[in-house]
Amino acid sequence: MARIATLPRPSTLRRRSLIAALCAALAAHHEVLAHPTRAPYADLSLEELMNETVTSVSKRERKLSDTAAAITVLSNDEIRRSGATHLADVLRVVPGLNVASVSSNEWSVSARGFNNVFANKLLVLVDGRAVYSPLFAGVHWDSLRLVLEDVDRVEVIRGPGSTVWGANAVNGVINVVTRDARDTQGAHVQAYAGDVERAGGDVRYGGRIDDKTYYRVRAGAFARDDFRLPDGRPAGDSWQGEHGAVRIDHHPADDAKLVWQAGGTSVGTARDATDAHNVHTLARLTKDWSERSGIEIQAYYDQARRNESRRANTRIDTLDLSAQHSFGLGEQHDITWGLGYRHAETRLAQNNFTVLVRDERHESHLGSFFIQDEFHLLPDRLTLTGGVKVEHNNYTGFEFQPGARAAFKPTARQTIWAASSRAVRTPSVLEYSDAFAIAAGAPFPGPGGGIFVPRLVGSDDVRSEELWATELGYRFQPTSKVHLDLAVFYNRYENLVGIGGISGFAPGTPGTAELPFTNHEAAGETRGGEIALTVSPASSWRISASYSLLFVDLPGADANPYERASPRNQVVLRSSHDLTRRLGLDAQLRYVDNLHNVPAYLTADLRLAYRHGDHLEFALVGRNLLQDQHPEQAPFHLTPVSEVPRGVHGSLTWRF
Amino acid sequence: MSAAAHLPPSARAHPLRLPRSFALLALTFALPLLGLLSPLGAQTSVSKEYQIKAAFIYNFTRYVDWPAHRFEDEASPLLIAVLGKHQIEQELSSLAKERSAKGREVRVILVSSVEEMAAAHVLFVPVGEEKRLPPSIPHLAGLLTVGESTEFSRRGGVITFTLVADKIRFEINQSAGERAGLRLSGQLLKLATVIRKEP
Repeated sequence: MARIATLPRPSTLRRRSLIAALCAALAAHHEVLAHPTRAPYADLSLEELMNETVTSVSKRERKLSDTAAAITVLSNDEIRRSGATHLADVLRVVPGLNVASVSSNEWSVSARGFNNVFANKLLVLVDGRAVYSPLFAGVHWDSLRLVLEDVDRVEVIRGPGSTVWGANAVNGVINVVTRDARDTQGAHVQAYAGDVERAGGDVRYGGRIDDKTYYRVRAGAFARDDFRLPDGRPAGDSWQGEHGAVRIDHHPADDAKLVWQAGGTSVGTARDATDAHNVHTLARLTKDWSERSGIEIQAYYDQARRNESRRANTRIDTLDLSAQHSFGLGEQHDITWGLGYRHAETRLAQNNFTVLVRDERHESHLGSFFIQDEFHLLPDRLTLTGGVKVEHNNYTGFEFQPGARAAFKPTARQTIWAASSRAVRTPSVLEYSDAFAIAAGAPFPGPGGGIFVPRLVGSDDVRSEELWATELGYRFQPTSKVHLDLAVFYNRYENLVGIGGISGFAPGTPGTAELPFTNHEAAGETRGGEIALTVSPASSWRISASYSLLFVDLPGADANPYERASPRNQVVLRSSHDLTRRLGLDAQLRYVDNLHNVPAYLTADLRLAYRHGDHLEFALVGRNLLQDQHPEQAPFHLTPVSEVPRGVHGSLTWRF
Repeated sequence: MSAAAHLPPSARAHPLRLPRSFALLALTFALPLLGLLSPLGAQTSVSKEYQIKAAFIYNFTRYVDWPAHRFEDEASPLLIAVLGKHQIEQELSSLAKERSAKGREVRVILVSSVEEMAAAHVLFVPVGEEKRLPPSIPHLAGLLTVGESTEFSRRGGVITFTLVADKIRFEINQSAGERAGLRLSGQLLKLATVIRKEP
């Protein structure tokens, strides 16, 4: 499992063209016909056969331990054993990442600072599809309903991934990779019931069309109960939803793969009448010409509709095409370059008087190019990687995001790495356009005696936020049973977006006193680090501990709530133990330091699973066990916050 | 700006319709079909993975002893069966033309029923075909079952291919082998991950 798509060569990059897809398909065809069929392995012994590699596609991936970036990979096993029902709750164990529940149906997730419900510096990709909203520059975690059983791994990169992933991969990238349909054959039924996790269920069936083509279909539903108000009463934020997905994996040859997937999610809350609907479809073709060269072509379409009675009705249609090509140049250079285009159309409709919609339709075009050279200066010892991503969008124009990384392996068991990069966060539609006017205070009498409501408005003067990041890391694996991972960083942010003073008055009844978004002149900075230690005393037992430290200095007199939006100290202890062949026990202890107006908390999660034969598994899960309830976020504008209660649920999994 | 404010708060249903998005949707739906064009004509090749697995299966026959009654006489062939239709059959067949196993001629057949399987000495069960197996594999006495999925292993198959990093390994369920009346050599067991699992 320790293989990942690295920064130098992400398997998940996107942007493509139809013509290129056609060319590649034809090329793949040609290649297949040229394949020799004369039993080349007939005379090999068992030992020799065991030395043959079969998955050429992984050749350009590299070992986790060699990567020049702060990266954590959660495997399918770790994800399932977390006992969580939602991806966001799984991520709580990742060092350097802060996950906070805002309410039963909202999460905020951020790496290395800046966490609130509008956290905007983390890019999230699911199988290469960006689930980052260009409207508010963030992730709607509620409509990200992944069936955790189908997730192969989650790669979490702290620090900028902008050289490859582009704008908005500022503080980190979360890359979710779901399993090949070939690996999810047969029927899988899962159901759970409990107090907070009231009920949920999923049915999957995986089958084959022929010996090179496999599929799976999946459908499920869930209901989650209310969180709590500070006085212990239910917060009325219960919600429920349904989802379905289909995926087909076609392997025409060892070195080619075609994936097509489509899915839909629909979620809604009862009380404040919010509902969200997402449909998406994606196709990706991967073709290797040799161990060092290959192409990847991808296209996806995504439609996200949200009707939020507290905010507005929104709909975003995104079409994304991308292509990338890798090749070796001489013995020492591996070049990867790619092109991409993304079109997003945003439509807005007003549904209350708190959030006025002023301009109902927005269109954005994003073109991008990246190139990267992985220079193996001393083979297997020292690798230097340099690259740049150039993007052009129709509001801030060109954006340059260069980066340089170095990985040095003094011994086979140690890696020292360093990286320096520039990343940008482009302004959201909310920030740069005249889309919204959001009430931000009490009405007051203004010029001419009229009544004016102060409202946040977008401004076309807003520029991109900029980050210069410097990172250092060290990994050490003294034995196969011990793994140490250390990373430190210094991030300097310029042009952070904030709110300026009143810039003008628009007439009306009441009128609008405009408070435009604006860039701070002064720079902000964050410093900190993460350390993680994993020990496996036996093959059936793994223990890990991690500690994350963060200091934030932001410009502005009222910066404190933002400086303490993420915890200064965070500790996670985990134990994952197969007590017997049938019985597994997972425990984790989490400490999260205080935030502005939110006390620190220490809590624990437990999961006890019993396997009956090979077909059935029962699990009992307790989450947030150490207190009746605790808050994880401070109230934010237009965002009521509720507290996380202790929860217990039981689950049943049946495979056949 | 005030025009928008006149919308009734109840205007929650999105008023916007997008014929163009359907075109985009159709486009991504159509894209995989383009790719399918090529492999349709390419059924003649066997992937490296199955070339290697076929060679493994040939090798296995050297390290396994079948009960004597499974062969009519010294000259009767060794029968390798593939469950369902699968590319590995081609590779096994071309191997069969070139060499023998345990001094016997090798024949490769495609099977789909329990009756057909029972005649075979080796049965390969491709991933996705496990459900065609009888509920209890041990009833197939004297049959070396080889598969490649956890589902196969779960149903009591004898040898299961696994993938470790990018190399093929195999797991042997020793109790399944014993129930099938097969003698697996120590040399073979040494290279395998040996498990003992009752069905």
